[in-house]
Amino acid sequence: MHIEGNLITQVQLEEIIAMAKPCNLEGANLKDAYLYGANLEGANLKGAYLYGANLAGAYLKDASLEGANLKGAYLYGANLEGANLEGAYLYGANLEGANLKGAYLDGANLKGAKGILSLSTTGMTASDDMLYAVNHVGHVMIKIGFFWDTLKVFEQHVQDNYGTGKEGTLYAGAIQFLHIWHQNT
Amino acid sequence: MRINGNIIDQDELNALLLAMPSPYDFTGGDLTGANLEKANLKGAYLTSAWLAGANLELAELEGAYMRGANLEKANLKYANLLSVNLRAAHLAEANLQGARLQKANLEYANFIEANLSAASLEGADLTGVILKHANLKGADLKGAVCFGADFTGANIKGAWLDGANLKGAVGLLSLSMPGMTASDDMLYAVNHVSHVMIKIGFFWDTLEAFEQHVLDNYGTGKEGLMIASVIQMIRAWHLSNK
Repeated sequence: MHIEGNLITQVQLEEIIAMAKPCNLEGANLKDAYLYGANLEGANLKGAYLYGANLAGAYLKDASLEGANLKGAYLYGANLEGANLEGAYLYGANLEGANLKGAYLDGANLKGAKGILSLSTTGMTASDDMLYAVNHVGHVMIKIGFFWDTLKVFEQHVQDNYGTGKEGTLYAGAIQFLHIWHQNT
Repeated sequence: MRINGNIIDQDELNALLLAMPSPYDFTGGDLTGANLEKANLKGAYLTSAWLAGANLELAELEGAYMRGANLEKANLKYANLLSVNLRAAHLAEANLQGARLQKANLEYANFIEANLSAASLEGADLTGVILKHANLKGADLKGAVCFGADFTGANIKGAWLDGANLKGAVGLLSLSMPGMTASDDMLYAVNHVSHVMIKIGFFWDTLEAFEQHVLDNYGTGKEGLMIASVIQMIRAWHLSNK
């Protein structure tokens, strides 16, 4: 692992994270780093190389992960509330059980990302928000615009707000395949 | 052609290009039908210039200011348009095959029926761009911002769209869904007037052909069921777009 060109050990990385709040790890090479449950609240991880890093259960609230390479990273149960993942590369990353409330994911490359589904289409919301679904144990969480809740609550929200109109029909189709996706993954 | 109020022919334009200091300033000039093949127009001022039908094949236009320029039916094959400003420019039916448009500002430009096959649009700003019936075959849109871009009727066969920001893109639906295919390809659906075209991995055909392909290859297994529900949603999307 490297930070600003300097080789660092896992222990040194843990010390850096423990000392600086929020810590600046912009552009750092943290390949395969073990950051299980680490407190990285508000951390600057812009453009960081986190290939294969273990970030399960990490607290990444409001972290900046713009353009970070998270290929194959393990983000199971990570708290990414309010985190910025614009332009992040998440191929093969595992986001099961992650908290994405208020996170910014538009422009992130989610091809092959596990535990997460993304759908972009116009006409679902007035501001054409993208829909994200995250697999949690026993349920699916939905993120669309400011909405972050279970699929069940989302379904109710759609019924209450859109009925059988144009958007309602589109949502009904999406909800149906979200159920099937959850059942099969 | 007309520059600074003077009517000029191709020979006079060539002489002007030799005499003028670079970067050239042709702001608002009329260069309709001009032959500027392989011309070095790096950083040139071509704001609101008339370049309809001009030949700019292999031209060097890196960083040029072409805001609002009229490039209708222009030949821009393999031109270097890196970081160019083409905001609100008219490029209907222009040929941009293999053109390099990385990090270009293309906001609200009109590319109706333009040929952008194999063009590189990596990191370009395509906010509000009209790409109706454009040929984007094999084009690279990695990291491009496509908010409000209209892809209705576009050909995206073999195009690279993974990593593009497609929030608010019109006439285009994108879906990333782990487990849908073995290679976790993203699915893209493009709205055409009477049908929907599907792109997934190397597949590019109508929704009906896709449905048949799924039936033949996945039947009613896990993937088959998942894709069947996706197809149903795409149908609802197509109907809601009519």
